[in-house]
Amino acid sequence: MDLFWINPLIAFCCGIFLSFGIRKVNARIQGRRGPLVRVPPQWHDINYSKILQPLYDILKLFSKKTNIPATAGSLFIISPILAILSGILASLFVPIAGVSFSYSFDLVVLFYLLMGELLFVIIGGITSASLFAVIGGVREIELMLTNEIPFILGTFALAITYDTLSIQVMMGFNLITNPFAAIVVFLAILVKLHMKPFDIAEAESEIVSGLTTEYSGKLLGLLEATKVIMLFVLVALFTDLFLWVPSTGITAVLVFIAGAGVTCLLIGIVHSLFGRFRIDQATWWLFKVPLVLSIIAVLWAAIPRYLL
Amino acid sequence: MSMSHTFMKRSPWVYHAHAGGCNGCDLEILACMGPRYDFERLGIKLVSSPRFADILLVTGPVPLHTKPFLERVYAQTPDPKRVIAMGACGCSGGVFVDNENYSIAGPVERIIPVDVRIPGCPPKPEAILDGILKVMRTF
Repeated sequence: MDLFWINPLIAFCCGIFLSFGIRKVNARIQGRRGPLVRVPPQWHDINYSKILQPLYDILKLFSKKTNIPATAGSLFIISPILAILSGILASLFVPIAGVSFSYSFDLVVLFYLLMGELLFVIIGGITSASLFAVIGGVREIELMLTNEIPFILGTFALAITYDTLSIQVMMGFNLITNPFAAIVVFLAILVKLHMKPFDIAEAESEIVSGLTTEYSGKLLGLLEATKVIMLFVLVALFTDLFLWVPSTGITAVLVFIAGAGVTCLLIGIVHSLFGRFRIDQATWWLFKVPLVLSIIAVLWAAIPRYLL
Repeated sequence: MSMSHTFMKRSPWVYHAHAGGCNGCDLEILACMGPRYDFERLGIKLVSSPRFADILLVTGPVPLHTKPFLERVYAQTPDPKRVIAMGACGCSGGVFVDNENYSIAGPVERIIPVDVRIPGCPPKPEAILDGILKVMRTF
């Protein structure tokens, strides 16, 4: 029996733990405690443990009233639903411990689903007719345009090495076979997840919250759930492509959890150690470093294949 | 107590509405986020838009020109919501308590309904945390 249809459920559940992990790593590096794993007895009427804090946030947002601004169009309501749908579909194509809906060119479908999620969030934000959302949308599009090229080139370097477009076939410990591609894809994941050097599109201290400024209640809950699923999908993609050791059964699950944990830790450390780029600095930097690295990665994969 | 209220209590998001304060209270809110009184321990988060918020933390005596904005921020916060008036100015008007003051629209409770008051000029971080916990327990 195919088990891939429970992938979205696994993505949501594990995404909550990964999200908690990033919050905790961020807090520990800043010298804080972060959400408590064991709450002291005097606060037991509030909660016993805060491990599920991202889940509480999402459920709370779903239990709140939704205010829809008078200027908003109908896409304001539709696009968060489409965004979470593309997130769920993307989670079907990413192998979780080796289980996924796989066929010969699923890597290409995954690219378009990841891009589609960002596009729907942008469309929804811009139709709210808020100026902050429009500024955030412009920044998001600029980042996306400069980020997609290194991301696609970085993953296609592996496709050249393994002569396939199926993620299942190119899984392996490719950190050794193509380290440049690993660096490029990691940077691209940071941009896609709005982590610290690249959180320009939702810069809280400049433009209120960027694209999501006008969202509230249940629609914001949908967007938060999308963020959780996307975090898991991208972390799982990095684990599969670069940190996977071929194995089956319970070993595969353990290898996958270890890889996802390491990736999540790295993302958390980068998120808490760096400040925010300005948008011009970020686009220029993305052209200078990841684009050059991704071209090196493609050459690294292509030269041994066609010359040797 | 219904299910939704349990979740409200478990993840309160606070919006800091600045209504003409002197920045003393604002600095103490920042102290609450630091390593010593870290309020993320209980899942409390400072958010940047009133549309995300559950609790409005209002500081300052509310000058006349800020009054419409405060009303609008209150209207933009989705239900269920609570309001904390913070600092001596927010609770009673503080040094601006004189009724003949021409530029003050009053303490916060004259403009929007207030659930919890945190007195002090500025209040200590312990007092702010205590006020947020009190308002969390009313959800």
